Amino acid sequence: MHKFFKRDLLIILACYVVHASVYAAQMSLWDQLNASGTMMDLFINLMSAICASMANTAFRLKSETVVVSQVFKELAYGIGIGLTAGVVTYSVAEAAEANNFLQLALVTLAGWGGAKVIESYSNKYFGGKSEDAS
Amino acid sequence: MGLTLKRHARNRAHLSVNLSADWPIRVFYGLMTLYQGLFGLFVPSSIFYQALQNYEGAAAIITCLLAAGALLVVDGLFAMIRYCTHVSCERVDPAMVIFNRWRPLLFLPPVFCYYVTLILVNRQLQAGVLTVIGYYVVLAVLGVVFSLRDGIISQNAQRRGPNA
Repeated sequence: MHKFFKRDLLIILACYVVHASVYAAQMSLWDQLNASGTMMDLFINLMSAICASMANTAFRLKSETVVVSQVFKELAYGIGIGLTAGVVTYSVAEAAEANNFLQLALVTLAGWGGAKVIESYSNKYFGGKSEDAS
Repeated sequence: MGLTLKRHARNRAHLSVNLSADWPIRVFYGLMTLYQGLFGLFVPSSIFYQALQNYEGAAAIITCLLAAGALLVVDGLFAMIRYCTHVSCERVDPAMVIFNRWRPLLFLPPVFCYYVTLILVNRQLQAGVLTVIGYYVVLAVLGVVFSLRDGIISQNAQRRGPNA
């Protein structure tokens, strides 16, 4: 029960922060992206997030308890999650005008952690199937 | 030789000869990483050198590159000896089990180092930014691909079971 509460709190917090970042972006998004260096920062940050998510995938593949039946599905899933978590965290950090390195660290951790969070949720939804995967 | 899988009692790491078959990749990427670290120490045109000039903390990046590269080369050489020679490798097997388990941590830290360095220096580069960034992004993607490939090989070896 306690764990459930913590998880849902995290989700609510994430939703709130995303909305805050949307409201913070008053200027046109495209204008801001085209501002000097932002696109390159976004690119590098996203690569880092995807890489972190792939790190999670690599450890899943190496793990003896998790048996992955469709490797390509697993990879696509990893890339998608890394991208989503990366974009969300990048926007939040950008809206908060965080330091570049703090931003990179947050985005990378989100790439890693995003996979974990969604994994635990899909475990909840499609329970049993990956029960042996914990 | 075929696929010989040994099942270890304590940690069930599968240590097949075929898992050692990709030793060239480990040696290649290890040397590549090692060279990047050494370039960072000695070659002024390297982005790692520039990062070191501007930020004290970049020493950690170079240390990470050197350590990961050296370990990968050692791992690759062990694997080469296991795969290509008839030398009995009983004595290095425990080390190989550890390497086999944690290899993602050898392939992936250089990748993060490349990205951090790109962010560190991308304000100061003028000419040929795209070439430099492209080069390091390709290196980083290669690291990710090698790491995933390693994981896929061990999945396949695992699924086929110990006696296949």
